[in-house]
Amino acid sequence: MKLRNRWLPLCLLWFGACIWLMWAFPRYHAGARLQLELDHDGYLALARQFAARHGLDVSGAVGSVSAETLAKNQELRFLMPADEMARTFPVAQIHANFTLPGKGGVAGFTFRPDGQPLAWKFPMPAQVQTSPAQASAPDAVMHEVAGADCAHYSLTSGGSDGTQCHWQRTETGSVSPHISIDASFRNGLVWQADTVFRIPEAISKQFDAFTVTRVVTGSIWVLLLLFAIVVSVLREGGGRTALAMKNSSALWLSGAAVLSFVLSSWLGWEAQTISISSTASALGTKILAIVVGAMVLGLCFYAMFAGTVLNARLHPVQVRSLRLLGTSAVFSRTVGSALLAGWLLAPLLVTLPLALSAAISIPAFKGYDDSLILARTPVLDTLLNSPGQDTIALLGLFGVMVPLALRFFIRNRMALAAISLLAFLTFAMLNAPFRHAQAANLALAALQTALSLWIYFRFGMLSAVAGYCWAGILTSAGVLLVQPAVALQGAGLGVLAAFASLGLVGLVLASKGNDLVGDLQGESGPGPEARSRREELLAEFNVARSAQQQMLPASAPVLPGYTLAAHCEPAREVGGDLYDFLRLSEGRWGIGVADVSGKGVPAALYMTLTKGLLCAAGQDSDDPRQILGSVNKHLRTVTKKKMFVTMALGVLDPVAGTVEYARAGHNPTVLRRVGTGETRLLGGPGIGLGMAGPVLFAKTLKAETVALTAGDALVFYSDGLTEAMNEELEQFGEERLMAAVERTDGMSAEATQDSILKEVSRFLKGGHSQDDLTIAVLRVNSDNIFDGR
Amino acid sequence: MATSFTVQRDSLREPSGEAIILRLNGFLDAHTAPEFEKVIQHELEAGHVRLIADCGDLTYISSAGLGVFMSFIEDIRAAGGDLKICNLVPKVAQVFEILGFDSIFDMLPTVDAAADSFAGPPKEV
Repeated sequence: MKLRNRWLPLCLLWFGACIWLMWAFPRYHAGARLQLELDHDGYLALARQFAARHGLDVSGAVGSVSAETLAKNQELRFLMPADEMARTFPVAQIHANFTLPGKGGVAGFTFRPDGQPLAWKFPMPAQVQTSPAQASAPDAVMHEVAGADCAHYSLTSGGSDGTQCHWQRTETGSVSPHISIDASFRNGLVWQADTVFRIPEAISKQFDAFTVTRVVTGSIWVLLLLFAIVVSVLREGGGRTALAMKNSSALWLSGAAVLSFVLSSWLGWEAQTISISSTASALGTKILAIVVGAMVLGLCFYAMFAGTVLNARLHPVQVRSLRLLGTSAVFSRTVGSALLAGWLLAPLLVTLPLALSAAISIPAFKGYDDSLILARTPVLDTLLNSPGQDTIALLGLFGVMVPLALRFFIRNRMALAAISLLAFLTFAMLNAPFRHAQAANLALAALQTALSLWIYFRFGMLSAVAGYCWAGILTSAGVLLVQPAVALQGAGLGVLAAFASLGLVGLVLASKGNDLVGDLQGESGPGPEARSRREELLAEFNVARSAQQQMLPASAPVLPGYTLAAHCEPAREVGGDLYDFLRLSEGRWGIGVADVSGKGVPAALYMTLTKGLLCAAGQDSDDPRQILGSVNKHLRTVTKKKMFVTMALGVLDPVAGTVEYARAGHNPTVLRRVGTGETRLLGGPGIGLGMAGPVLFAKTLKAETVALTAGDALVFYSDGLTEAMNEELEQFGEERLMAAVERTDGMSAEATQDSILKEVSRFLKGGHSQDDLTIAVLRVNSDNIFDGR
Repeated sequence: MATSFTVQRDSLREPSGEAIILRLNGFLDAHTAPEFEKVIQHELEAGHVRLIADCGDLTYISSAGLGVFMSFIEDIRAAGGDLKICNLVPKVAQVFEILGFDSIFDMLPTVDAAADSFAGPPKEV
């Protein structure tokens, strides 16, 4: 792949962002505040040791570890940077749980990131066997929890003989944040202990709205799964239906998707509130919320697909690579380029909030998935889970909202404004990491909007979506790398390596991928499926076109004393115009020009029919009225009521030098008489073919016999010539045609025809006629001496 | 090229019965013909068979547009009604005449004349 200019800005930005990220990530990213000293196995081992020390054997139990960011505490530290008490509030805690074998129950432990215990809860003490030697003194418990700060705590209730103890940290001058330690004793065993951090109510209240619970994360997980299923089903089954879907159906489904989005966000919000406020029925509610949310969003994803179909019609290039990804052309250059562009975009996306954070000196409170950090297999989990909400939002934005906007705001600028607004709102709702700088949140949304739209229009939807996917992975790698635990750093390197290989895969595909669908930017056609279908149709049309052209006389007959020429130019692939030279009895020739009403394929079909009828009628008669009458009779019986054909037919007697002429609803033929300088239209009465029954048709049709003299010309034409319209919406018209004919005196039929066509094309200023354009010229040689006269 | 075409509907009480005036406006071409077709279809379904096409504001008509007139005339006459064409601008009138419409349809200068012409027998197709 040649490194073309369009890649240069992206590559340079990528390079700059990577360099800057290495410096800025440990300083400004919220993940850097976690400071995890151990990894999954480390905390598990720590919990086992702790349990053993307190008389609980968990050696045979299954353990699980998770990290939880305490954003409230982070915020407290930010708001009260000088407060000593606030500084002891942990920014994250690690939960280790053991499910004891049999009916042993669950033992749970909570630690600070540095391993200091915060809380624990053993199963009911009756079930725990302990020896008196392991009995703990209440003060020892307090020391264990408070660590070096134990001097600040005083016992406020309970005592060495009590089953409940409560310590309160008391410090003068510190009014708001409070820490207390509770412990429950039984048989000398501290079976339950808790450190309670009390955040000032004012801070706590405004905070609840920002808490992200596992319900939301869980829903997103289920959705991603559903998405994968839906897409794979659609690929073979519904895919074809969706691709064949009419715009209106796609529109309705897209509308349903927007509604689903609104509903699901409301649902997510409700579930979140429920999980915070209630405890007993929380699990049931959570499951219900996840199931309903999944169902709603399942529909939403189908609609998203429909939206993409709609988008594919309106913005084919932008969705092409995404649709290719869903088909067999994964290893194509188009997909590779899009993935590479998305990959290059990822560091920029990670940089944006950090750069803003650095610029305004306010820390961001979100930006990574804390549940992943202590995963059992961090590399794998991170790669699978990191593409999260942003990816879904992008699919919603470009899969549903953009096509809707494009549908309703046809004019480019309006559409762009609508898309920008939608993108801005999406990002503003999705990411608001700066709790104390709304302007920064809006600026971030604006930057994300600009960046994703740039990528969308330049590299397509796949790039925009992949960019956010890769950005999630890169962020997770960064969060792992900045933890003190060596094992986590190793996992971070693993994720980083995977990220690098993703880029490499993109690069290889972009340079060596199969070329079957060409280069993304080089084309502006629809997706490959639609394109191949279109190509197929075009090929068929070309066959039809050449078949139709072959139906027209290959060359004009050569008649002594005359020249003849004709030309037909369909406005589309096939046309409804027709000309013909009929060899009639006694050396006569019929010259006919016909025009089928309407355009395109139906017109073309009737054109072939008319051609056949005309040939047949020419066998039986050489009277234009009879020929036209016969064609009319047959057309009348076979055509639909609204189809009709107009035809001008002249029968030339070359010897006598006469033309017997009749006109069935067709444009009047131009007669140019060189001798007298007269130019007139042969406009006798006559109804179009197929419009009226034989009686009325014959009654109306009048023939006219024209005696030709040397140099005279007859110009037959279809309305495509006189109605050819230029940019000023002016028609070529009969006057211009007659004047053009007058300027051809002395020319052969072919030269006459060329001269007229040139005048038409000059009039159109390089444009094309909207209608089929046909012309047929009969010229009497200037040295023709008629026998009869 | 996007074209605009509208049909405005009026009804006219005549001593001999009710006639519907369809005032055509704009371009009647292959894109807009189905719309006109629908309007006439609707009138026929409602039992209105005395129709007057007021073409005063009809600026262009293509063969597909002419086809709409053709497609209904027999049914209309079979149902005892007629479709009168009136008030044509010269350019459009020329198209109708070239095609021989004047042999099939009553082409009248004004709506009133068209309304009056319902008294006489319709032309034969």
